[in-house]
Amino acid sequence: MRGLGGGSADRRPQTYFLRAFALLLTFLFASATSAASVFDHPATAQQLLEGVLKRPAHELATEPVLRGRFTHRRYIAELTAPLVSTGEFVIARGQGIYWHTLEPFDSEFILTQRGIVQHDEGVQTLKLNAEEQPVVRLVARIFLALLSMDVQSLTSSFQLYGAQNGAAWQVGLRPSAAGVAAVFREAVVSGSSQVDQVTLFDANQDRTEIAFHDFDASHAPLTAAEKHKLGL
Amino acid sequence: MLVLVALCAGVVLPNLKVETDILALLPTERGDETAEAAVDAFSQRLARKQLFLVGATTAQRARLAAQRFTDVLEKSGAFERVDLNVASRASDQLDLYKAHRAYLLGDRDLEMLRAGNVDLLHREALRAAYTPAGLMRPLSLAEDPLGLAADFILQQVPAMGAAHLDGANLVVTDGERVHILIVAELKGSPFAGSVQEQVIPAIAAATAQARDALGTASADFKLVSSGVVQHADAAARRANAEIQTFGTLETITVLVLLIVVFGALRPLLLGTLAFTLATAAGITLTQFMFGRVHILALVFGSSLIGGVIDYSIHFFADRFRDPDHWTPASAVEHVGSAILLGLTTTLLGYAVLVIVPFPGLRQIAVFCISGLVVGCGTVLCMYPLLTRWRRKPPPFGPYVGRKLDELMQRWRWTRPTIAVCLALTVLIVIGLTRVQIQDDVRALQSSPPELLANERAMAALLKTGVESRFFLVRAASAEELLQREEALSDKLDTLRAAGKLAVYTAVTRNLPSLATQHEAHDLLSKRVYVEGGLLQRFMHELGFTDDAIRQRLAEFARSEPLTPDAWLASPAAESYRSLWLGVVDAQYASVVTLGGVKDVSALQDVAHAMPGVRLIDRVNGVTEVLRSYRRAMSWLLAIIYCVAGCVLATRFGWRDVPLLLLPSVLATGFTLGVFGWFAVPVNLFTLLALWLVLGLGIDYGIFLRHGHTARTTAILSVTLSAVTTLIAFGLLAFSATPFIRSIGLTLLLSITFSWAFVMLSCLTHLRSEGSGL
Repeated sequence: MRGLGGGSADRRPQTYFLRAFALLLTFLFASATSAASVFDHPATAQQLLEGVLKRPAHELATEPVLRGRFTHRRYIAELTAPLVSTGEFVIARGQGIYWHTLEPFDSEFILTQRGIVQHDEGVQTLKLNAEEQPVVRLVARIFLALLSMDVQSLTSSFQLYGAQNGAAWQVGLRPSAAGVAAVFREAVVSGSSQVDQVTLFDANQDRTEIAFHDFDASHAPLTAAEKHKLGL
Repeated sequence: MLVLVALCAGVVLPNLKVETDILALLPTERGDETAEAAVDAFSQRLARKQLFLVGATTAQRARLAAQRFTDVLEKSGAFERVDLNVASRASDQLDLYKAHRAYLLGDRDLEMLRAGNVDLLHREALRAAYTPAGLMRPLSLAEDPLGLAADFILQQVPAMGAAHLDGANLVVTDGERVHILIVAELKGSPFAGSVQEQVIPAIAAATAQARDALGTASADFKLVSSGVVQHADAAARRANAEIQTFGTLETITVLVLLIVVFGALRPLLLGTLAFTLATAAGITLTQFMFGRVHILALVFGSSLIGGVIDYSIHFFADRFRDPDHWTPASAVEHVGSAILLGLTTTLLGYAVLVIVPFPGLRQIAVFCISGLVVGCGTVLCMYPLLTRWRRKPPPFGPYVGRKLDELMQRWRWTRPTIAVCLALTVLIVIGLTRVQIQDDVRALQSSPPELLANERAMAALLKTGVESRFFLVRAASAEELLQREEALSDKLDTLRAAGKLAVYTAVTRNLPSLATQHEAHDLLSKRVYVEGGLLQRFMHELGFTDDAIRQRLAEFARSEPLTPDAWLASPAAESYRSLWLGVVDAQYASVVTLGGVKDVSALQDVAHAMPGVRLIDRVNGVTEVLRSYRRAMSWLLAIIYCVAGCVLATRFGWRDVPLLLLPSVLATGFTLGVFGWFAVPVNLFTLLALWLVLGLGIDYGIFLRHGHTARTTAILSVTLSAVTTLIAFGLLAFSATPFIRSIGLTLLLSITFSWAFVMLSCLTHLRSEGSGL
């Protein structure tokens, strides 16, 4: 159960993953504000943690496991309507993300420090090992840090921005390194009492919005079934 | 003579290339010249690679220091390339893919299409469109609807051990620091002095400035580096320092000794002349024949001191025979034949080394034969002309000779002395049974501990051991080569699945054979990029317009196959270029590197079963070569003793041959016995040294036999010879380079033993006084 006790000063990467996810959960309960303005307000990691993210960061430290539902919308420039999928997720701080798409089809996506595994209707269809695939490793690292708002870790790859409007806040990220820019152009995480939405802007005109809702209030530790799904 | 000196000084010395790599002594792949050339080509490229890890306690500081480090290295002009940012490679790969998209496919996609599994491809494309799985694709959904580009590019970034991409850099972290990887390539061979002179100061300057860049946090800075050039530089520096120290000590001692014994400068000057001419001849001929001179040939070259100075000593010591009526001409008459006989047996020994297909030994033999012939010629032809010696020689030399002679005269083979000798012999025989053999090349060449610690730290951080094994693939054409590599890759995939191999890197991952490219093109055009094919169905399903679909189809139609030439010219080939050897000896060759080898014999089986594929294991190969040559040399040594016996028999008769040969044989045995007791390992270089002892020991015997009419003179001249040789070689026993230390230690013991045994065998009587030999 190491790492699930929450809040310890353990600096291993696993733990920052968990911390990141806890932070993400915090963001989920915020109300959306305008995405355009946040990039007018550059900030350092320190400023963010002491200002905009003070409350969510505290929440984050106490929540080892987050469960809920998501709505994933992909806006493609050439398409008139977004591609929408919905499903459920489990974010285990420092351990991994379980992303279960239920509509329009059944598909599981499991992201850990070790790599990526996919299941279609229960059958494993893809396995990418982070040890052998540096790109997978980079992507896994960024998304784990992003979804958990691990601000310290994000500073190595991003310039950070922060804005606040009453209870609502936004954190903006722009890749400072070319390797990351290939994955997305900028990201906005918004919330109020918790994290509400993550928006990723691609290098072209496409964007992806992930909205989090219907959180499980129990915050119970990972069940045996969930651990199995995460490959723990 | 003048011509020789002028040639040596004017032409050879300025272009002299001294080789310090032990591997250069050895034939690497016997009986396969092409493989050797290809392996050399790859090794040379690999040797030019230099890795640095610049570390600091925070990522920000590490980046700052790494940037400064890179800037200084780049500005120094000592490096061909210095790579800090690797992210640009991903966009290079993307450009390559876009230009050849109709022909390039990732392994997985190719397998799916081969199996006709279009449905699976469809399902994956859907998932990428609707879930976060599609977020990590380098092209937009419209540009790469099926994710084929993403799959191809994903398999391109070769794994660099534990290093991971962080932003644009490859980074490893340990408990304390964040380290950023910098890969640099030297402009020339790391063994070249000119390269070392540029690179080593550049690294030092870059290190200092990178540390300064951290300002108050400079204590944070840590540099770990790995590469051949630092080892080569350290070896060259050490060899230079040793040559200087040992050379100076040696010169001073020999100088003092000769002045004390002969009481005049002329023997010294003439000795120096003979030695200089001999060395000049050796270096000149070796350089002309081999294009370079190995440090070991130079070391053995100092055996010319043992040889040429010996001849000088024999010549001048002859004066003590009759100081008042001696003339240089009479000296030639007296010692000339003995010198020539000694030279003959020694040359015979070296002549055998010329025949052995071992480049290092051939160099030594050529060096010594030419040096000895020229030296001996100088002594016998020029000394009589140049020697003017009026002053009476000092009494010290004859005194020593006389005392030694008296000691020998008084020696009696009594029961106790025989008992002691027998006991010693038993001890030595026991020692012989304890002799340890050391053929491992890594034990013979050592680097300063701090450099070795650096290499270990690098390996620990990157979590990859130094893998010395790799596959060499060869074929008559580039296309055949790529096809063979693909066939090899299939086999290696099977081994990986079975856990016998962790990773491998092959050119075909980036540049598939034309056959595979055409197969991919056929599959794509039949099932995907066709009216009613997967692309059209899928794009319609998502709601793309017909225009967008037509655009994709047009791109496909425009695309061309990727040829090796186009690939080599593109920046995308950068990561793989060192694996592509191009044309080596009229054959195309490439290398497949390995990582995490668990089962060597499985790899061997793969290599044996495939045409044009060989598993190269350099370290084990070299160790194997050292072992087989050590064995061969042992036999040759025995044979040479027999041949020398025959030569000596023609001059002295069969009865005396054992007496002349036994001292050398016993000295060899005793030396090895002592090594056994003191756990000094025996290797090829020990045997090389014993080769020298053969010649020297026999020389001593010949002189003592020959000098029967003037015992004191003979004793003096043999003793002087032994002492000068001991000085010349004994010092090598203190060398920091293990294989040179081996030679020094062997000679230190065996020369002492031979001298003692020669004295005992030639000057004492076994039965009773006066019974003769």
